[in-house]
Amino acid sequence: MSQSDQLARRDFLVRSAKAGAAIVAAGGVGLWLHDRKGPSGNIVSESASLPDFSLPVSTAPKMSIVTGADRVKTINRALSALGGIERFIKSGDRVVLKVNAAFASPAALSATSNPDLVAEVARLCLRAGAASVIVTDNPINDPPSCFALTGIAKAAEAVGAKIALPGPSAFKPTTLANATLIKDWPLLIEPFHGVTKLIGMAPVKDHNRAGASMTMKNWYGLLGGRRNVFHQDIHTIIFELARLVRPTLVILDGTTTMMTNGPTGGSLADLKATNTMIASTDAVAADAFGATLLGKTAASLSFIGKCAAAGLGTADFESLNPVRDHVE
Amino acid sequence: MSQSSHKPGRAEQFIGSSILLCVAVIAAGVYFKQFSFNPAVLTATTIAPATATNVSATAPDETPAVLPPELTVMSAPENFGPDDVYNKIDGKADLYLTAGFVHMTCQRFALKATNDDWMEWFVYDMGALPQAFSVFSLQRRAEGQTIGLTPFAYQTENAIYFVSGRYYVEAVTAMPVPAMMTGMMAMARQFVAAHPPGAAEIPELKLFPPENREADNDGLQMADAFGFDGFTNVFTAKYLLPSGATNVEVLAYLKITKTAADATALRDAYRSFLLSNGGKEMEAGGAAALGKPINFMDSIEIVFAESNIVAGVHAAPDAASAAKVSQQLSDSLRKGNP
Repeated sequence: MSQSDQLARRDFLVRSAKAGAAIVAAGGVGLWLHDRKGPSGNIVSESASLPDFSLPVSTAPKMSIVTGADRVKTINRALSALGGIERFIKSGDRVVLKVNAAFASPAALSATSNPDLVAEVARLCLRAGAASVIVTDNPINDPPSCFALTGIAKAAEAVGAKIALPGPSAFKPTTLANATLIKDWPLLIEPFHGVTKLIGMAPVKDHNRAGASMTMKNWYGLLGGRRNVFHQDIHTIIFELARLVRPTLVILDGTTTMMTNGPTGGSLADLKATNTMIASTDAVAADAFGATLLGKTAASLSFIGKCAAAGLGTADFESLNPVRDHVE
Repeated sequence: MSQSSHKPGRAEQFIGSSILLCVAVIAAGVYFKQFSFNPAVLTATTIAPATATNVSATAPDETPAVLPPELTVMSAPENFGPDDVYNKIDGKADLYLTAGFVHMTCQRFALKATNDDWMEWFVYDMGALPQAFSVFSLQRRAEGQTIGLTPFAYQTENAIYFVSGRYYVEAVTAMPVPAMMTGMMAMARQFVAAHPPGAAEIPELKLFPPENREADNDGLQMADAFGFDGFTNVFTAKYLLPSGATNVEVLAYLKITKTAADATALRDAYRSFLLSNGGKEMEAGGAAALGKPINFMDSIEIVFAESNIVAGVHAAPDAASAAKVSQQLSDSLRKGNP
């Protein structure tokens, strides 16, 4: 090996050391600047998920359909047909009622859950021994006004339920296994602390993107963030929400159906008296029946097909032999 | 050998190139990752607006300057742009956004007499008359009664809807008592006076023939008309044809393209779209020159090109009525004037 080669090797080692030092320095600066917690404020690092609130499989009826114009009467009959509220709510249960309070809209326009119905279900839960009943939703825009102007807050609080508004610390990121959309996404989680039962309550509405807004679309209100991005793939997000949220019971209010211009409506001309109340442990079946109130079929609503195919419920609601009744 | 004259060996060149390659890969990774940033993180600081009401200090002057005597202010005006209008109207936002939505102001007003009854006033700035007409037409209630406020205006039991120039306006109450409706109408008139609709004419609508045409049922679909993404800016008109003791409804449509060749290509593309989605060609009937009708999901489609216009009927209940309206429309377009 020549002298010049030895010098070249030394030179090479010096240069390599300098390059290595530069890389280490750059990496160190990057590490120093790295924000492990992400943006400060509302999102915390740990993720969260909802427990499965559904009841164990039994031979009891899974679905009831009661016709009548009086929501208090129809929901009582619908629940009785399923075995009574006591089948779902036990003494000491902490209950969340996930309502639709998406808009600061009067109850008469049926864009949101009916306050009388919310109050009655809350009252029944408390009568069955529930330790607490929390009514919640994430309307995004001005939640206090939404709960106040819909009449839900006043009606629920009058019977002893509490309203949980989505405050800054109420959300935690959640990821649904094998999901394409729900990945590290803010989920309204705070109202569910210590909760043992979940009842979803939704009106039957036309929906500009989804075709229909019913019990499974209602879980959309648990999402935070710029959830409107999901409107581009609305059927998939409803399907994933149905996988994510496993309720104890769903109540689909088809007393007044928003036939057109949903989900906001606005005109009384958008509404039709369909006088039907549905209670079910199978949200897919409830929505499949709800589609008929809109003059549609379950097959025409892609999210119902996706949910049924995934085994989340059945689109063939008649196969559940729903208990049918009528009250004056 | 001096340091400057030393020529790197192959091993040095390999290692040096490898380091540069690693740096390039990292830079490329950072570059591409930024395009798929998790929106959940982007919006982490705005996930729960709590009591925010979007009150803007720079709100355009779209709220009433003087209130009718029946009404009083109930809440501050709220303002929404394309990025956040979904906060207010959720799933309805896409309807406006695809039509060119610019801005929306809304505000609640209470009835002085009761203070419990209230209405909400929505002003959508759609940028231009056709866009405003589009969202107006797509939401028109069948039960609505046309009112003379502007050329595009109607009223339902509890609401008033109208277009005035670039604006689409809704006034909605759940308590349609006379005093409330009077106040709402006064506000509407005041708005029209402050924002005159101008000529308020949409020339394309004049291309539809008048015979059997339903009044006040024209429309404009800005995107994805009839589920076909090639159909943008499609104007529609409804026709009622006597059929025995009843009438059948037929929807006619037209879209203007830049050239006749564009129209022909778009016609062919729509036919292909129908046929590839289960449509079946039928024997040409009463309007043979316009091409074979297509039976699509048990309704009839006819599409043809006339100069630089693609036109036809959509979802007609039977072939005869489809052919009749198509022929009328074709004749009208050929004349260039109804």
